[in-house]
Amino acid sequence: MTLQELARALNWDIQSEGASPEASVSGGYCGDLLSHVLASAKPGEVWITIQHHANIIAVAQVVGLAGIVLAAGVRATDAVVDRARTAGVPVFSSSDTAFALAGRIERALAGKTC
Amino acid sequence: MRLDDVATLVEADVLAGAGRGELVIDRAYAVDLLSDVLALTDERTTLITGNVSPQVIRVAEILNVIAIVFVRGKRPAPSIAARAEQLGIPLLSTKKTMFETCGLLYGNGVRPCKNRPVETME
Amino acid sequence: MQEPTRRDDGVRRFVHHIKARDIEHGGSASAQIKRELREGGVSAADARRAGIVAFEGEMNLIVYSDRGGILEVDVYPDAIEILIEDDGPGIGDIDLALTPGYSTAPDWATELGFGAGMGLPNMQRTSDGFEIHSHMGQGTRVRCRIERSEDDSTGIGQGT
Repeated sequence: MTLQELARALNWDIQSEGASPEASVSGGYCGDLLSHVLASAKPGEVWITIQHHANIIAVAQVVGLAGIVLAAGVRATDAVVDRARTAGVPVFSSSDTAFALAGRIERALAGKTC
Repeated sequence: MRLDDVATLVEADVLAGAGRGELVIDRAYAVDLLSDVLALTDERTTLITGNVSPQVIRVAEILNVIAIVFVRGKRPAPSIAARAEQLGIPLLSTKKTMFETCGLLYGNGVRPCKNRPVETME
Repeated sequence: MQEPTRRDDGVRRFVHHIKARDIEHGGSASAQIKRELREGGVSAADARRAGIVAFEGEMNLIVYSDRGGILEVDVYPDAIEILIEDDGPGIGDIDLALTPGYSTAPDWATELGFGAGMGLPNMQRTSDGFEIHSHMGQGTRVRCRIERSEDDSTGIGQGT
């Protein structure tokens, strides 16, 4: 499933389109401690977080994440959106909590209704 | 789901509250940051977290959290497990990631709970 | 651990001295306060709110104060008053400090998941009255007031 399809299926608000919307998502990573994300997240995963400023774009680039979805209505700051657009990193916002996002993404990737 | 079923589903060890297998787990919240935990408005929620700091059990007590599932193989210090036992708050620890744990629980009917809407600095 | 005292006017007072950078014990004073409020007949909802305010205040003393400070809770029939006070370093720009997400937390705190910049805004939102006074080089004083409700059936669960 591509990130674009996932975003549409789960009704995410697009804050930054990203350079390769057709790239497929390999899985998900849920977490807010940046050092943990750097250590454990894998390339191609979509990152579920409430961290909406500072270095999330750099982290996404370093790990090679598919994109970032902000949970619980959190939105990226303008500075982060600018950086995301320049870097080509997709950033979305969702009103679902992190728990619900993880659940729905997992089901979507497994081909079930979400 | 019952706590026992949760432990089986996510292959978790029970670190506290072994006698409370019948506890109903129907709402959960995934969280790492302490400030996010404090934004919880629903009571009787289960926390899914990688944060093993002593603050987590104290906030759980203040907010009436009913159980905590530690992910990514994290285990809190024995003093925290002892405190949880005293408070009657079961602690589970799974090697699975937060994403996988949430996915499994969600897929088995555990629902998201509400938190206070977040105000962000734009 | 502190024993609650009774002031001359009969009001129950809880005082905790919080040490700077004492992360290991961070939150234990607030958890104790919440328990004691409940044991003293404060409603579940009010004790929860007081616990949240006290917790944020306690963590602020630990993360930001130079030499620690005091966390003081007075229980009146109609309200709970919470005071958090230190003698340094003081806040330069209070409006900025009250902005959700603004944080001056040191790395050791953010690496543990603290210091997301929500403490003061959370205290403001959770309490019914909020006052903050601070001067650089002198210290900070925060007062919060929780209006007590008679009714314990708040409809949000049966927690203690």
